[in-house]
Amino acid sequence: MKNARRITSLVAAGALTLGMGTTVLPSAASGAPTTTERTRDLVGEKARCTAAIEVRLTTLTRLNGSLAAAKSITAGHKSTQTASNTAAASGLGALKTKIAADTDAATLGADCRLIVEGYRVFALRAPQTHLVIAGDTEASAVAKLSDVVPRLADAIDKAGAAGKVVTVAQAALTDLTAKLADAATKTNGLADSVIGFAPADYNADHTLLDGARANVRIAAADLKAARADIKTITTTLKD
Amino acid sequence: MNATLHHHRTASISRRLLVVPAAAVFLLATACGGNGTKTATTNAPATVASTTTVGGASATGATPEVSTTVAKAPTTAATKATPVTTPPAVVAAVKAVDVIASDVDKVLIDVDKALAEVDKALSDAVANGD
Repeated sequence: MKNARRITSLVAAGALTLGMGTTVLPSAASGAPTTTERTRDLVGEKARCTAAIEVRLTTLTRLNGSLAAAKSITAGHKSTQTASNTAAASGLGALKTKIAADTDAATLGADCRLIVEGYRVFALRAPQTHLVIAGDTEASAVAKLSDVVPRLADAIDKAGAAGKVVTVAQAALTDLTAKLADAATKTNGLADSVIGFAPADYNADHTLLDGARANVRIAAADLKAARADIKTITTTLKD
Repeated sequence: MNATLHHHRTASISRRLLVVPAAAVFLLATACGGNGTKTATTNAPATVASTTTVGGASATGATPEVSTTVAKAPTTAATKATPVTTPPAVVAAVKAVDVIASDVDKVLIDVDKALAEVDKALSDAVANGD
């Protein structure tokens, strides 16, 4: 009886961890679940945990697809993040096999909690992957735009020497330089700052990606403003 | 011989005497403003008229006759600013920059997609109990 209650509570805890809510119904006569009820609950819980693993495996496959398709990510970051996602998929695959073989609720409950706390696919791996892609893509944009600055400065000088009014172009160039400097600061080392995080790090601090996420947003705004400055300069010089 | 010389000198003096009074009369008339012609100022704005006093104030105090002349409008050629041509080096630089900027546009689209995926991942995390 004591063991039965313990099994019931552990299975319920596992389901709660997964956010799937389950109820183990007590036997009408004694108030305790019967063997049949317990077996049915274990089977149901296994199915729910397996489904939770499947959705995570699908996500990890999609994340590695995004990494493979990313044009501006460095080879090292692509390799490292892909390896992290692949290791997570491998671990979840092994866990799925183990869960299928679990025979007691305590083990099943612990294994089901591990799906979330041991891998953090949605809370860590997915945003981490996209932050790495975003950080490297922004760093690439900063490099491309920085290459444009001396060309524009030279063109403005030449246009001014030819008698064109370049006041607006000069102001836009100043803003462009400032925006690029800020974007470079925000993206410098961004991918490296998040790529090493493991599920245990997230378990200890749920806000560990917030700083990188904010910096990616600021850098994106800087780059858009820089792009607008370039348009202003080229339009002014063409006129 | 002497008679001939004398005749030439006399004729020369006479011509000088005729020229000098004529010049004096002209200068006197100009000084008094009489019958002086004034040339309209070219390139002056069309709305500004030049005023010419005809006949000038006479010694008798008669009111001078005033005529108004509208100056000619400035010619187009005189007012049009010389166009500044863009140096070929600037045109080439702008073209090169446009190509790079177009590439950056695509990169910025990728950045937006990555940001959207980060947001989606975080909402998925909530939905999946992460």
